Amino acid sequence: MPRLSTVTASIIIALFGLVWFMPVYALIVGSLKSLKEVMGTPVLSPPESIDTSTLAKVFWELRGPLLNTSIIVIPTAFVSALIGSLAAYAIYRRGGKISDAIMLLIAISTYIPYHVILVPLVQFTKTLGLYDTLPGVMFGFLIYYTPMAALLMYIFITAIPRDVIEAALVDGAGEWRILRRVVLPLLGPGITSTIIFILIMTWNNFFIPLILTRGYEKHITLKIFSYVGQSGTLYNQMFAAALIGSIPPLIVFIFLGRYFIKGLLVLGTGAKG
Amino acid sequence: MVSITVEGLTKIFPPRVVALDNVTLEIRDNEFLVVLGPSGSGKTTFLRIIAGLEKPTRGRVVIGDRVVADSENNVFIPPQKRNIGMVFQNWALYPNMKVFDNIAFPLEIKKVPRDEIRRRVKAVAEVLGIDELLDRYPRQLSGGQQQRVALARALVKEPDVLLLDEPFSNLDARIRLTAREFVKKLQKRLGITTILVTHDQADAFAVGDRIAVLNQGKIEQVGTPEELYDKPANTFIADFIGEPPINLVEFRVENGYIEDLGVELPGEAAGLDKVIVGVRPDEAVAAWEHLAASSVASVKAVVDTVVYIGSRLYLTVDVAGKKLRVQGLTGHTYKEGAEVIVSVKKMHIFHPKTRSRIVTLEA
Ligand SMILES: Nc1ncnc2c1ncn2[C@@H]1O[C@H](COP(=O)(O)OP(=O)(O)O)[C@@H](O)[C@H]1O
Ligand SMILES: [Mg+2]
Repeated sequence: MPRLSTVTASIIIALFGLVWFMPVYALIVGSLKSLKEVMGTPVLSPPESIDTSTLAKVFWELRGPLLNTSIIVIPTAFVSALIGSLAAYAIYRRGGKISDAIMLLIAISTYIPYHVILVPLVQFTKTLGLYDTLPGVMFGFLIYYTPMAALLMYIFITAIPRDVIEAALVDGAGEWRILRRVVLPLLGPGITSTIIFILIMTWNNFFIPLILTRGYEKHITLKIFSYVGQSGTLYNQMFAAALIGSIPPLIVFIFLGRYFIKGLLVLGTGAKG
Repeated sequence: MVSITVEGLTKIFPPRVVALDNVTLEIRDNEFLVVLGPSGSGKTTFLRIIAGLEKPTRGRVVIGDRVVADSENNVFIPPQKRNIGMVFQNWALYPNMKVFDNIAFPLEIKKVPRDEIRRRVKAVAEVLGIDELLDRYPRQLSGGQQQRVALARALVKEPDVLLLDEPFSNLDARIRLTAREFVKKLQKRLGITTILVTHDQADAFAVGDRIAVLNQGKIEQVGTPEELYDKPANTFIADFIGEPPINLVEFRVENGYIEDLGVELPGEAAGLDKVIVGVRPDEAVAAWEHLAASSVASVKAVVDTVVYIGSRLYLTVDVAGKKLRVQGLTGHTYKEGAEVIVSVKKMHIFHPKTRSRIVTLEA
């Protein structure tokens, strides 16, 4: 009965979608209400009249942090994907026990909780004179997310048929040429996925900007947080800030999501993407 | 002048997979050598060691006048510097490059000037009949076309040695016949020393000047196709080569005669108390009467089953309780349970313990 199962699947997907959309809906209606209404009506009730002034006001306040976050996050994603690819290729090509050990270390490092590296990271950033600067936050992100990029890229590289690389060796190519002419072109979907993933992870990250900067201006998540408990929480402004802050990753995912999914599919089909 | 010498080649994959076990072999200049063996016998490992994609655990590989691998003196020349052309089992074309760039890649690495690259790619593509496909991507090609592209890429740099790993196994039956013929002719025309590995004896017989049979990492026999067929070194070779497979049946020996067959054994074999008798189905015929003209043995048998293999008629017959497959005469009708006389034209005698061939009796 394919029809029945399609219907069931559709219902399940719709239910999940509904549950996940609920908070977004709350954000949207909340940010369109006046402060009085937001305090006085249930979270999910639609606004009596649409009031965009809060959104406009908050957007103006967020413009600095939005720009700062973009300046941090975009290069971070590209650089960590690049370094990650190089590391992954080198580890893959070397092979053997040492490579296995390094991969294990990398995998472990992506699971290290933030508070474990808190003190050394702050100290190190201060020593470098990067504390409370945009490059400092970038540096923190790179330390935290480059291993993850390497891990992801390693998985994508192992999906490339081994004999394609070996064919290049027999054809006389050195490692750099193989990387440039064979591996990187085949890693396109994988690199895109990794960049998207890190863009979103770093955009949403709160802890690293929190420990590496002062004030609320250098990362969007800090700025959103600043709306909490400021002389009594301004709920409509908080909703508006959260909504605006979540739009960029949403846009990235909507426009580049198919590349992300393509990248994941490559893993299943052996780099045909 | 490029011959290949392999001496005492052993490859052990830790902890203890012995993929190759003390292989010694010489491939002559311009020779087309086929390494034939069942799956897992070490064929791919053998090619990969010659290509330099794998280091031997022990042993030496010499290509032309150059030692390319020697475990004792720690010599190892990487694949890039061996000037080898290789066709991988699934062709391993670069999926991101068009056919032209796939073929041009080895020349690009050698920094051959653009004009010359274009000329040489065109020339080799013409030889292989793929000059219409140069603008396509590998995924837009059929299996047979991909294989030719892989061959072109291997040949364009004018390698000293050509290595082919099961090049026909991913082709369907029809194309396979033409592909074999094509590869054989091409090799003779270009005169490149070539090693092809396959598990398919038909491949081996179609293209090989000589065949080396590999079994569990060991070379069992090296020889021309005729030698392997007519003088199998042991029961493994006899069984592995020939279609339908040879009958290998143990018989007791009494007073120098094979019991039930009444065949006198010469020399050494006469002293044994048992032998393994090998009879190819195509070298034994079941008929109503004794075909005296050409047989080493002729025995009474009972028809068990009748089958056609291809266009030929074969019978399984019962000889003193032992089943043998033999040829039937076309035009005759054989009934199950009928009595026939089997005339054997040729008979291999193998040692029951060592399983190596002692003697071949022929009419
Ligand atoms: N990289 C490897 N690691 C461990 N074992 C291997 C490796 N490559 C091949 N082998 C083993 O070596 C044996 C020979 O393999 P192979 O040369 O691929 O055989 P063939 O090509 O004749 O099928 C097999 O038992 C195989 O499992
Ligand atoms: Mg193989």
